[in-house]
Amino acid sequence: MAAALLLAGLGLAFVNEGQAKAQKLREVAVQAEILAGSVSGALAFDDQQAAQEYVGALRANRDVEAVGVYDAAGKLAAGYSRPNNPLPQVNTVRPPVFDGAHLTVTVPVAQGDARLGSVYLRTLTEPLPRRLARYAGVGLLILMASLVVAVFGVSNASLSEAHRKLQAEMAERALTEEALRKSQQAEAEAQVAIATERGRAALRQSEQQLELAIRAGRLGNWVLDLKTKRLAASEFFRATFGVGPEEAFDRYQELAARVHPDDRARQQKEMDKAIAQRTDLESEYRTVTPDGETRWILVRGRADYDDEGAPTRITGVSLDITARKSADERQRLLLDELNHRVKNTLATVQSIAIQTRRTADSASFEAAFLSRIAALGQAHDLLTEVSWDGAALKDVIARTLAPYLADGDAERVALSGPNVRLGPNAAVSLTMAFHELATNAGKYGSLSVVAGRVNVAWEVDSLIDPTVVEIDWRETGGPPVSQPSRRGFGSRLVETGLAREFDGQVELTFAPEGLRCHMHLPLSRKMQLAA
Amino acid sequence: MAVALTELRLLIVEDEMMVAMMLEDMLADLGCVVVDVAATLPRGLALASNASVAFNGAILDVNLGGDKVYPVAEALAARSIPFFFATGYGLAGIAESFSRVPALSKPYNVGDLERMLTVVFSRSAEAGG
Repeated sequence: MAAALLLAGLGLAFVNEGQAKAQKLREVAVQAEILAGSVSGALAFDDQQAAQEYVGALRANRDVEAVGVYDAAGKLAAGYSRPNNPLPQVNTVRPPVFDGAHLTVTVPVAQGDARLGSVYLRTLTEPLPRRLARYAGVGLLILMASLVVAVFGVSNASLSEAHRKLQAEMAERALTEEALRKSQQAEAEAQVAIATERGRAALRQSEQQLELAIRAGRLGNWVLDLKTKRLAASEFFRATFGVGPEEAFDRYQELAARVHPDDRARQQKEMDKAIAQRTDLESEYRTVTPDGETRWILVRGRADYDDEGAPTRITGVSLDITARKSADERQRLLLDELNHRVKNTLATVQSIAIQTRRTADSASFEAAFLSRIAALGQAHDLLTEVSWDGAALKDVIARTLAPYLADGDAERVALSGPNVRLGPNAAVSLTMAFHELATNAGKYGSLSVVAGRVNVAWEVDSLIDPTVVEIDWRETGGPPVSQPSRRGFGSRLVETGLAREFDGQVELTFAPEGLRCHMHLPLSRKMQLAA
Repeated sequence: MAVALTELRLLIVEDEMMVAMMLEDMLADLGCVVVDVAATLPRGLALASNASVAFNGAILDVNLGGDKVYPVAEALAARSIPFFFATGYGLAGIAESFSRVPALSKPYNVGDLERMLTVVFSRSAEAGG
């Protein structure tokens, strides 16, 4: 009988112990799952501080010996441990482990199909003294019952009485234990609830901050599941592509179809490369919105991988960079144009140098060359004043004659004609041509004497030919003019160069009373009559 | 195979008066004959497509006061007349379809010009022969 009682007691203790273990495992597993749920946001945004807050919240539970949050690579992201309970450096998810009075539970942290990391939680199953006391209590009862049986021998009544008492006491004991367990469970649940609430609040705050940053930066955000090719895109991301809220835009195909055909292959290549090499995705491509507007989009992202290293999803942001792209394009065009003009100006300078050397003797070369370069500079000054667009013919002529107007004898030069506007090349060529005429007049012609005059008149005759500007340069009062013995640079420039450039005719007449130059220049894009 | 530069009769399409005059002089120094100089796209196109204008090569500026010279280039190519570009835009400024046409970058000197003439017209002589 005593032996049977002892056996029953041991059996009871064993069953009791098993139930306590299972109960504890459920509690700890729930705790670990809740923690995993709380830190998924923190892991997704790589927010170690938030993860640390959730971990710290479990400090209040004295049974918790060590708790760690690990990222997708298995590396520790946040952790807390009591002395002599170090956290493993790398965590792997495996079934729960009981060793002595300790229970270790590991659970994965996931969001949807994506694996973000794992949680490690190690607790005391029950403090050792308490468990020993419980076992001692049970043991003592059994011992006492055995003594009663041994001492009082065969008294059936007393045996049944003792048996009843023992049962009652054991039942009472079981009730007490049940109550104790319930209170422990309630305490643990309360702690978890507090931690979860705190975590939720922190997560809400961090989500709000992220939302604010995304709105302020006009960022779209998106997640692409690489297995199912499903796309989760924010409103901003859709808006960047010109996709309305009711239109389907939840498959990768629908995104790819909206990438500009010329950019599609490159965009795909850049994404494949970022996934394969585990680098940040950075891709710029065009999209044409349903309204026909071409937009440039910058996309940045990063892929996640499962335990086997297979890519699971790619998460990223997008930005409409159309304005930056068109500014880049404008700048590129301006630089190209600047380069073109500088090269052409250098070629013009080179041409002036070569031709001045051909036609001037070494004594006069420097003065003639520098004077022509100065005229070129003058044309550029004039063009800069009008932003390289539409210099006035009158200003071009006036500036080449300015040295002869400097003494205040403006009556020696008369200019008259409608407002004719010149493009950059036309302004440079006409400046060079009038510079030659003015220099010649100052050296040999009417402006070489005090009484001499230059009259320049131009007109567009709407009756005879409204498409042509007739310019007439007429010198009077100068020394008698004779036909030059050879054709100089100036003559060639005016008669051949200028005529060719405008597809017109230019005629120099060396009349005895004064030089005349008649220019018959068709209007064109480079020379227009101002309204 | 060397080509005799003196056998060249050239059309120049160049809108910069001063540059065209220099090119004329340089070509004259090399013994080439300049058949005509066009400064605008319409005139260049008229000369390039006119079979009665006798020339066996051309030098084309790419930008003619805002117009691109490519229609002239196409007309020349259609007549199998060899040509090359002379441009201030650099090689990157030439359209994709003409990227194989040789280009002389402005400013150039008479040596650069002579080398380009020799390369372009020797090549065409070989291709033709």
